[in-house]
Order: sequence, then structure tokens, then C-alpha cells
Amino acid sequence: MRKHSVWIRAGVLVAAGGLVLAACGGGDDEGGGTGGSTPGAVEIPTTTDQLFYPSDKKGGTLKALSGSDCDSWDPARTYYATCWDQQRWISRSLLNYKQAPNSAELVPDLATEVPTSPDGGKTWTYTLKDGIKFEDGSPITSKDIKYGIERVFATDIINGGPTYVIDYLQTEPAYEGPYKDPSPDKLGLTSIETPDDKTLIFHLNKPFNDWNFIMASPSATPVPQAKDTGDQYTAHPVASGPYKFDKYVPNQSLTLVRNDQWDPATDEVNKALPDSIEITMGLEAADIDNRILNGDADIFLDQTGVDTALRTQLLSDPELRKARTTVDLSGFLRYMSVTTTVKPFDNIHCRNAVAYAVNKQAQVLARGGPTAGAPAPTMLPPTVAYYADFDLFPTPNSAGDIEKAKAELEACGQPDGFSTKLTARGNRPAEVAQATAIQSDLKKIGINVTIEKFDSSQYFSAVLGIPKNMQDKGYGLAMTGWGADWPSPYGFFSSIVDGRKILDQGNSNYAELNDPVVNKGIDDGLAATEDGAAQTAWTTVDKGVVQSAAYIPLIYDKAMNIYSDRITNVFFTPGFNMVNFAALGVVR
Amino acid sequence: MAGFVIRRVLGGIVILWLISVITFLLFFLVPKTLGSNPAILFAGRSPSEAAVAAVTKKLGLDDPLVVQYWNFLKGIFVGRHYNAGPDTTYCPPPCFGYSFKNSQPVWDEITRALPITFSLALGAAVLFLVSGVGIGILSALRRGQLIDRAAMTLALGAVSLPVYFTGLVMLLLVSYEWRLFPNIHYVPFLDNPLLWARNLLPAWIVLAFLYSAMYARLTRASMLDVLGEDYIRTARAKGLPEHQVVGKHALRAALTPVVTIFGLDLGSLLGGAVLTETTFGFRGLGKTSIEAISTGDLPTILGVTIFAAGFVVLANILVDVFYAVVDPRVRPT
Amino acid sequence: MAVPVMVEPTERPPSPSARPVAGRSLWRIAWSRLRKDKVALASGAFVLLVVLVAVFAPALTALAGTTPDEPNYDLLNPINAMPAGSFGGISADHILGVEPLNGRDVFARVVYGARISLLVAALATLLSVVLGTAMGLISGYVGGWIGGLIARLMDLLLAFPLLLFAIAIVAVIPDSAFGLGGNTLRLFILVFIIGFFSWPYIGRIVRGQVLSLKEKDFVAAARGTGAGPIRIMVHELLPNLVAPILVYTTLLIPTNILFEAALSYLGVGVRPPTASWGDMLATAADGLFRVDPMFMIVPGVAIFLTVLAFNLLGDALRDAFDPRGGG
Repeated sequence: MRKHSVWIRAGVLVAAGGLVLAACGGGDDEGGGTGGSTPGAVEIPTTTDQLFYPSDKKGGTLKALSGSDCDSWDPARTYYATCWDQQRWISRSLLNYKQAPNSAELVPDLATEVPTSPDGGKTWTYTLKDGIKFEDGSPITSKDIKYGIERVFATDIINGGPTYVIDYLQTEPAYEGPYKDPSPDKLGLTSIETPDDKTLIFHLNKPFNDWNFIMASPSATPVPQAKDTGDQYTAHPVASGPYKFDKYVPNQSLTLVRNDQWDPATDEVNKALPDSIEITMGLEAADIDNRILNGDADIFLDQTGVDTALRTQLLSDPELRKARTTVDLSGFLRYMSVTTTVKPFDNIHCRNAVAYAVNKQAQVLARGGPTAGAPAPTMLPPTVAYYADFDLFPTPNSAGDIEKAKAELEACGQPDGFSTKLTARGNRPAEVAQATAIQSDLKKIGINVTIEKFDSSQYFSAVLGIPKNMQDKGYGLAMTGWGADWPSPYGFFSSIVDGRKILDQGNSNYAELNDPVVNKGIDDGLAATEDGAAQTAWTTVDKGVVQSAAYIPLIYDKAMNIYSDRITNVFFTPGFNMVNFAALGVVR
Repeated sequence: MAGFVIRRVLGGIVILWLISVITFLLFFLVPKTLGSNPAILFAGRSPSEAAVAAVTKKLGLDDPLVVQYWNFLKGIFVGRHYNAGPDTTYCPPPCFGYSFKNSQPVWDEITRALPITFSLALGAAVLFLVSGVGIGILSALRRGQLIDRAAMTLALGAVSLPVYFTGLVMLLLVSYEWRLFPNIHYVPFLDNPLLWARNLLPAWIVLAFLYSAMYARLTRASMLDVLGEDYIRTARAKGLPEHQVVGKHALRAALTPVVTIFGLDLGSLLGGAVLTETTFGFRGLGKTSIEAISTGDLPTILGVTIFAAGFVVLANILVDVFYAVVDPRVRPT
Repeated sequence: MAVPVMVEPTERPPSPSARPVAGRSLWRIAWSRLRKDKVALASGAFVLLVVLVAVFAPALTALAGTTPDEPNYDLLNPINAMPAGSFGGISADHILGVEPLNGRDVFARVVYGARISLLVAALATLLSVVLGTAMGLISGYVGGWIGGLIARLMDLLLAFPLLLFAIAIVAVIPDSAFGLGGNTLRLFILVFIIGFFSWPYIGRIVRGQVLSLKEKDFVAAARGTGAGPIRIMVHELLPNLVAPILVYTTLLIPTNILFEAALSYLGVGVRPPTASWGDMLATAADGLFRVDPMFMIVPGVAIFLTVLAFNLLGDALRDAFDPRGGG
């Protein structure tokens, strides 16, 4: 759901980050084998920081595959990481991520420069470039961008996407979107000024230093009012980027062709190498793997990794692996939330017991082994800036420590254990496998866990997101995962651990952790202007969260992906937490 | 006869209407009673209360159920107007509403899935009808002989195998191990008829394996029944050649129940072969509805279910009419 | 609409063409026929074996020194989490291998899976037999508008896209409801759904039999002595229906085993870690079977053999009671 994100700042580059194309030297010939005959050590390709198959050659058709259609093609309504990445083919926003390996640096896109706020984060001013046009040839003005942002406020029609612009731009009385806007030009949102066609001035209702990241998301895409079809806009979003819709059959296929109104001179971000892009949707994993392996397609857009069969094949074929695959830490953390308002987890010792009992190696196996993830002792993944390595619940080989867990249970006054419920998404087999592993871990210390499965469509909104529901149903444990919406530690932490953001509905702090040290650390981190203070603040937050045992980090997610043998310009962009699609070409 | 047909059609319409009511209640009333609001699912990952309220209103989920149901029915017959934001969109009949998930017309989704389901069902039907009836007749004529016993043992084995198991074995062997049918996925007939057939063949075989076993058993039993009838004995006694007895008299009577069942099976297959589609990854009506159920996409579930039920009901009517034409005695039911 | 339709995965229960069978001596004839039928005896023995395996699952697995839920991570290839060793990790300790991703013992899970399969199928069949017999009796004997209504209700149920509907119902019912939770609720729902959608098969057969029986002399005689409809239904008609009900019950059980497996395969069965055959197949179908075919073959063969045995037994019973029927 929530897009994943990591942040590598220049100079704070962390060892494990980035893209990889299989740079593993010798010593990895002994593969897993089918069924795996020798459980020997195979060196797993580690991620490195590089551009793979660089090329400037234009032409050809990029053939892309996906498991399912985007949640929406409307830039204001999409929330899948892969779809944000795909949006870059058709739409531009004020800012964008620099097209360089592992770069989280923001660069101007429709705007002329990346602004700084003159008043500590409340006012932000952007100037538009000259010569920018929609696919129909009409010029893109500041009012089109304002209108695009206003649409997010029409939550009855335009829903599904992130709502940060509402959080920071909402006015008193509340603005309800352009469709209920009484002003004749439908530009009644007073917190955005458009003094002329080239200038946008944002007046935030509270200071926010990460605002530029929001303006690099699809929320800041221009939408021409005359072509707005409301909830039908997904059928044909008007292109501002290098490609436009040619033929779209929902849930089946999408063909993008060059947008002849796009002027490369105005765009320092997009290379737009292929002549066209064909996306085929709704395919099975095995089919996707086979097509890419055979060269019938170039890339798997979901970027969630290859299927077990191909994974096994790749692990025993170092040549193929080296030439065609990447293994990335995705910046996504899989963790378990321990509801502090459900007894006996109101007692920290009972939470500690769970934290000690969990076998994180088993979690890795449940997701398919070391190419699918690594045991996580911290909340912040190593790919995010200000990551610090520590382990507050050390256990032998991260495999759990029954003795320590039992001691904590004793301290909690529950020496014989107790019963509780663990929620998981039933239509995510790997998550169910994780939950089952935790169930058997906790059984060893006498905690009887019942697993309750939900469909992913309602899991966060209707189950985890309503604290009263968690308490009433006694959901003491919940499987979940998180990647930030933009690549900063604030983006990673603010929604999920800030005790002041516990909501009755739409809550993301599932454990209802309200720790003053953590809360203050978030404020300090956001306000910090130099690296040292920021490092201290974010490590304080991370340690505070892990120490509370309200959240138990399980796995730093990884994905092993395969590409065609003709694809070019493959590199990892932390802003999307995956390969940057806009840079890809197909002529070597 | 005309009266019978009209009664049957009316009865079918009533059944279809009842199914629509029950489906509607199941998906709109049950969640409501259990305290969940479908609108929450479509207001984003962490929707605010205001957003949930706005979506509830937009989707009409705060209207009385009767009104919601009436609007749904109206959409199917005369179309509906929807608030799309800047203005209203008109959804022409047959309008099954818009998917909660991607705001696309459910009708488009049904018409996207339909050719897939049709291809799967019709191809399999040809296969299993020919092989099943053939084996059944042969078995009946060679009753008790080796071929009969072998065929019937095999048939009993086949009906004891779940299609998803045979499907997986089939996939494993022909697609992954032997690579005879690599990359199985649906290709539209008009794009490439050869590839269409090649990719569907393993699924056809799997379905046909199950169904031809049932048809072989059914045909055999029916054939044996008929062969024991007096008029067949009379025909034989009169010295008619065996092929005439079988071909002219027995076959016609014996196949009547087979055709009856075939109509019903085809109807239910056209409604979506859920397990086969799921196993082979064909996104026909069956798999589409499973996906819709798992994402809580109520309009899609409703549309596809009613559409699928429509095939079954239609098949029932056709079969009844067929039966009445062949055998006038059944008409009074 | 004279013929039952069944969802795609399951065998259609036999059409209700069987003629009324009556008379006590029939039981003796049937038994003597059965005794001579080697296939019937063998399949009956196998059914008994499966039932015993299910009942004594804990003892059996204890004997084998395994448990269904205990993970064995050391038996997995650490690289791809698939069973180490060939054929799904078959060894002396784990005679049918171990599961991928967690190394649970496949033998123990298949044995425990038999419990779920048989329990759900048996209870669901019981429910549909009770419902079907009652409805069939009323519909056939009482007739009139009530009988017509019931007959139409059976038509209606048979016109439903069953599997779809079953999944839909299971999907809308949360994990705890009606004061029940956990697997109790799941089992309850599975039994109810399968039983509820299956009763029309029995109902139609009973109705058909009753329609012809009620014209018989002994019914008229009973009516002559002033017996009420309930008394006639229970004391006169029911005893004559036992044989066909027994036959079709035996044939409904395998149908219901397949129904349960199909629901589990589609992800709406019992919850983890409880083992069920359909669920094991579903896990295998998620790409794992290509690397570890044993994990798919074992539960698949378990379903196949069990269903086959019941089908053979049912066929034999039908032949024994009505030698004119199928084969």
C-alpha cells in the first residue's frame, strides 16, 4: 500500500544500500539446486551503488509486466510505490528525484529551482519553467498545479491517494475541493496563491521542513481543469511528461506513446529513451518470470522479486544472476506491532517476552530466504539516512532466546503464559507464513496465539486503523510493514510511532505507543539543521521505539528482480524504493 | 408449449431476481450488521472520519437499502447517473455500476472477462462431450467387458480428483518440466488463434478430464437404462440390425438426459470455472469474482455473481424447453 | 429443472433416477451382494482406515515422533527456504518430507488434515441429509403450495453459483462472530455452508421416492387407520427411504470432501496452523510446487484416495441396493 522509501544522503551513504546487480565474485557457484541438495553457504549478491548498462540510445518499445493494474492512473489517487514510479512516464510535478544511482536529492522538474522556506517551513514559493505544455499543446500554468492539488481535497471523489496536502494546506473553514468550490474559477483554496501563471506560493498551516518531498510526489502534478473528468480521470490522465496514453484497457494493458508536446529542453530529469511503452497487467508470477527470462519482456513493474522457482534457478546460476538480476534492500521494514492497550501487553515485560521469543531467522525463511530479507534489529532500515546499528534484544543468531523470554514473562507476572490474537493479511501467503512462524515461536514460552486473517483491502483501514476495534477484539499482535512516503527518517517515523498522532480512525500508530522520549525525538529530528543533532535525535527515536517493544522489527525487506538482456540504465532510486522506470531504455 | 416457455422464462426471471436480492443483502447488509462500512475500504489507507463520511455519501451507502437496491436495478435496465466530480456521468444500460476499486464500469470488467471464460468453457465442452459420450456409449455396448471396466474405473478415478490438483500437475509437467506449453496466459482468439488454442489446451484437458468422466458414467447408465427398455427389446426381437437399434432408437433416448445435464454444466461453466481459472491464472469471470471478493469490491461482486447466475438460469430454461420438446410428459412441472 | 447441478470442482451427485427400494429383505440381498464385491470391501476398508487415521491422528504422529505444527528450520536449505534433500526432504524421521518455508512434517499434517476433511464432510453431510430428508418428505407427501415452494427453493439453491457464493459468505463473516471465535467458528461456517448448499440433492431424491411411494397401498392403508401425516411420514415412509438415503449419503460425503478442499484451496478454510489438505495445496500452488512437487503431490493424493474410496463404496452400495443402476 504505502509506498516504500529510503534515503541516502550524500555523505551518509550506508554500506548496504542501493542497487545491485549481482556483483558477487567467486565462491557462489554452489547453488540452492532444485529442492536444495546441499544446504551450504551461497553468497547472496549484495547491493552496490551503481548504474547498470548505461546508454543514451533511443528507440524501441519497453515491454513491462505487472501483477495487477495500478490502484489508479489519476496522479492524485495513486498510492502504490510502483505506480508513483510509473507516473513519471506521463506526468511531471514541481520537483523530482535526481536521476542518479541511490540519489535522494531533489531537483527541479516543472519548477525552476528547489526552494528553501524563508520562515522556517511555513511559506514555500515555486516558479514554473517556460515552454511546459500538456499533451494537447496548452501551456501548463501555476493554476493547473493548484487545481491538481485542490482535487485531493475532494475526498468523496478523489480518494485513495496520500492526503498530506490536506494536512498542511487545509484552511478554516475547511476547503472541500474544486467540485464544491463556490468560486467561479474553482480555485478557492486560499492557502495556495497564484499571483501569475508562473508563480505558486504555498502558505502552510504549520511549519514543515520536508514540504519539498511532498511537491515531488504525484500530488503536485498539474491537471487541466477543462479536461478533469473527476473519478473517471484515471481512464485518461492528461500527460505533462514525455509519454501519453495511447490505448488503455483497465486490468489488462496500457500503451504509452511519445507526447509530442513534451519539450526535452525543459526537462533535466526524464531521458525518455524508448519510443513507446507497453504494460501488460494481471499476470501470474510464473508467467512474468518466464517472459522476462525468455526476453519477451523487459521488466516486472511490481519489483517485488522473482518467484521461488526462478529464485532457486538464479541461485545456482551465477552467470545469469550477474547479468540479469538485482537484489535490493527495499527500504521497507516488516514488523510486528504489540498493542499496548490490550492486556497483558500493557506491561512492558510481556512485550519484552515476545521481543525475545521471536526467531527472526524463521521470519526470513518464511519469506523465502536471504534474498527476500534480512533479520532486522532496528526500525530504520540500513538504507535510510541516520540509520544506526544496534540490537536491544540480542539473541543467538537472531533466532530468539527462550530463557530470556521466559524470564520476562515471569517479570510480567505471567509465568505460565497467556492467550492472545495475531492479525495478518490472509491473501498475502508470505505474511501468513510469518504469522505462523511467530505463533510457533510464542508457543514455546506458553503464549497461545490465534491467527486472525483479513483481506488486505480492509486490513489497515478497517482493522488496524481503529484502536477501539483492536481493544474490543483483543488483537494483541499485528503483522505489518512500512516504507515511508518520502525518503527521510521523519517520513519513516512520524505516522507510525508518534504518540500524538493516535487517531480514532485512520490510525497508523497501531500499538498506540505514546512515549515522550520518542515524541520529542521526532520533533528534534525534524527541527535539526545539522547532521550531528539529527543523528542523535533519530537514533533516540529508533532506540526508544525498539526499547518499548511496542513494535518489534522483524525483517529488512529485500527483492531479487530480473531484467531482460537488452534493458539499459538500471539504477535504484530511494524516492520510489525501486529501480527508476523513467530512466530505462531498451537499446544497448 | 408457448405457455410453458413463458412460465419457465418468468420463473427464471424470478429466480434471478431472488439471487440479486440475496447477493445484494449478503454484501450490503451483512457487513453493515457486523459494523463495518464498505466506504472505509475505498477512502485510502488511513482515511479520516470526514473522508469516510464523504465516501459513504458519494457511494450512496447511507441511503436505505431498498433505495440502494432500486438504484442498482434501475441501472441494469435504464442506466444511471453518477456524480463523477466536475459533472455527472451517465452509465448506460446494462449498468452494473462502477467498481469501488478503480472507478471503471463493472460492465467493462465483465466484457473483458467474458471472452476468457467463454473460450475456456466452450473448448472444454467440445472435448468432454465428444470423449465422454463416446466412452459412455462404448462402455454400455461392451458392458462388463474389459474396456467397460477399465473406462469406468478410470472415470471414477477422474471424478475423485480435484481440478486444481490435476491442474497443478498438468502445469508442472507440460509447462515447467517439459516446456511444451511455456508461459501459459490468455491470448485473445482474434490476436492469434493458434496461440489462443495452445495456451488454453492444458486447461481444456484438465476440465475435460473431469467432465468426460462424469459424462461417460452418465451416458453409460442412461444407455443401459434405455437398452433394457421394452421397445428396444422389441426392435431387437424384430431382427433389426444392432447398429440400427443403437443408432436410431437407443441413442436418441439415451442422450436426452445427457443433453439436459450438458446444458446445465455449460451454464455453470460459463458463469466462471473458479478453480480452473485460479489455477491457470486466467482472469475470466470466476477469477475476477474471487479477486473482487478479496478486495471487497461490492459492485463487481454483485455484477459478476448475477451475470454468472444468469447463465445458470438461462441454461436451466433452455434445458427445460428442450426436455419439453423431446418428452412432452415433463411439461406439467 | 429435474437434474441437480453442482459446482465445477465436485462430482455431481448421481441423478435421482433410482427407483424406490422397499422391503426388509432387500437389506439382506444387498449385504450378500456387497460381501461378494471385492472392490466394495477394499474401498470400505480404506474408508475405515482413513477414519481411524483421523481419529487416532495424535497417537499416530506421536508414534512417528512428529507433530503437525512444530517447525524444523534446520531441515530447510538456508538459501531458498525449500526442504533440504531430495523429494521434499523425505527422511526416516519425516517419511513424507517437510514443508517449504518452515519445515513442518508433511506426514503429520496430512494425517491431521484428514481430521478436518472428514469432520467437515461428515457433519455437513449429516446436516444436508437431515434437512434434505425433512424437506423432501414434506415436499413430496404434503404437496400443495408448500411442496411446490420447497421444490422451487431447491431449484433456486441449485441455480446458485455455489462456490462463488460459499466463498462470498465465508469472506463477509469476520473471524469472530455469533459469540464464536477461532477454528470453532470456521468449522461451524464450513459445515453450515456445505451442508446448506448440498441438501437439495438429498431433498430431490427423497421427494421423488415419496411421490411414488405415497400412491402405494401400505400408505393408503395407514391413512385409512386414521394416521396423521407426520405419523405416516415418520413411520411408514421413512423406513422405506433408508436405503436410498444411505446410498446417496455415501456418495455425498466425497462431494463434500472436495467442496471443503476447494474452499480451503481458495483461502477460506480453517485457520493456521491447523492443517487441511486444500490449504496445503493452495500453499504449494503459490509457486512452491515447481521447486518442491512432493509438497503438492502428497495432499493431492490424500484427497484423491479418500474421495475415490468413498465413491467406490457408494457405487457399490447403490449397485447392491439397485443392481439396475450405473456401474
